[in-house]
Order: sequence, then structure tokens, then C-alpha cells
Amino acid sequence: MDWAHTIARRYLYEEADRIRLDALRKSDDAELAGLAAKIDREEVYHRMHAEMWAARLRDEPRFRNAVDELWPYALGVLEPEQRAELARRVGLDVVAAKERGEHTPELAELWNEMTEVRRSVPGAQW
Amino acid sequence: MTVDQVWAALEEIPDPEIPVISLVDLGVIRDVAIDGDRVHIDFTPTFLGCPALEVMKRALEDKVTELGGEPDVAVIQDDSWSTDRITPAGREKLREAGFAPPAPRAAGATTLVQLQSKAFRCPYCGSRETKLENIFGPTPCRSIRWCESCRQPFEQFKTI
Repeated sequence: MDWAHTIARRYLYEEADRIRLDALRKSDDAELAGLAAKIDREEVYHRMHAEMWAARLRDEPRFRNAVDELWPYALGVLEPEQRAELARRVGLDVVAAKERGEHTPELAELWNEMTEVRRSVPGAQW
Repeated sequence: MTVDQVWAALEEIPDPEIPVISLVDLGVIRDVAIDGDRVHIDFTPTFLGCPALEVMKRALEDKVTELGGEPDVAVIQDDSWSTDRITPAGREKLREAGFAPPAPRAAGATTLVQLQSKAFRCPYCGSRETKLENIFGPTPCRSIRWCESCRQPFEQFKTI
């Protein structure tokens, strides 16, 4: 996996996630709105990290290509009515969103690794 | 058992990750109420994904049990905790232990420009000649800075 691709994905995801969190903060479910507001305090730093690297790589062809490749998927993170706002923020045009609808094989690998202890010691408490 | 006794007992519980500061200093205990034998504690975690959450909750329950009370700890998952809740005594303990305490919350969220400014003081020598090395330190709640004056790295609590 190309590192520029990782940064592009992170940057686009954080921008989309900000729009989603803003919407959740305005939810009429007080518990959900409270959780979203709390998450957002931490997200500030995640966005900062992504934006810092995106700014450094902005003119790199590998980064530009990765952004173009991932852009339809970034749109797919959000509801249709939220997509224009994402396009405005990242300075791209709205295209047809791609929603994968299924996880990539990497998730199974990650899941196996992250649940290894629980599976090897059933009922473990810590 | 009085509310003051409970607060005094909770003051003895160290933060699991930074034991120089107590849970009371950290500002995560929002309220203590007593109803007969039942001791009700409102507890607000710092970070939502904080891995020490369960450890802290259990420590609160154990302390109440030690006092002879029946613990009832409610975890409040809203947005009410911020680093501004760390008490002045807590900030001083952090600084003495070599952690730069968090800056007060400015109007609005922290920006990269602020993190890169000279607003942060080295906890060892007091110099403001410090720079940001990495936003994410050994735990999500800390950044790494470098002091140009005494030439050593230090951990800066994030303002959230």
C-alpha cells in the first residue's frame, strides 16, 4: 500500500466524518448528540493530523492520484444530501458515489489479530 | 458516612495512567450523593475511547465498598468533561511530574497554529522556546514537544 494513498484516505475520511459528526451533534436524541459532541473534542486532533499531512503532500502526483481514486468512496461515506458540502470542503466536484457495501479482506485480517487474546483465552477478564 | 468523607476517599484514587494525579484532581467525578447505604457517583470519562475507563469505574466502586457503602457509579457519556476540569492542584502535580498541563480551552477548538505557537511552557525549565514534535504521544491525550532551551522532549497534555 502506498503511503500517499493512506494519507489521502485518512484526509478524505476525516473531512467526511466531520460533516457526519456535525449532523449527529444536532440530533434530537440527547444521548447521541452528547456522544457526538464528546467524540468531536478528540476528532479535532485527528483532523489536524490528517490536514497537516494533506497540506504537505498536496502537490505530489501520487497523493493527487490517490485522492482522485478514493473520491467516489469518500462521497459514499455520507448521505446524498451531505455530499455537496464535502465536495465544497475538499474542492472537488460531486461525482457518482461508490458504496462498497462490503468490507475489504483487510478487515478479516485485522479482526483476527485484534480478537486473538479473547479467542485464545475464552472468558478472560481484564 | 458523609459526602465529604466520600470525596476525601476518592481523592486517594490515582489516575491509572498518570498516578501523580487523583481522579478528583482530574475532574472526572462530577457528583457524589448519599442515600442511606447507597453512594451514587456521577463519573465523566475523559476520552470516550479511554482504555482505563473500566479500571477507574472499578476503583471508584472498590473505594465506596471499603467505606462500607453500596456503590452506584453512573458513567456520564456526554460532553461535560474538558481539560478545564482539571483542578489547579492537579495541574501543579502534573507539572511537577514533568507533564506540561493543558492550555485553557480557547474560544473554539484548538488549531494547529496554536500548537505550533510559543504558548507552551517547558515543565522542566519553564522556557517558552518549545516546539511541537508530534500531535500524538504515548497516549491519545498527550502530544510530544521539544524544549529548545533545556534540549529535551516533554509531554504536553492536549486541550480538549
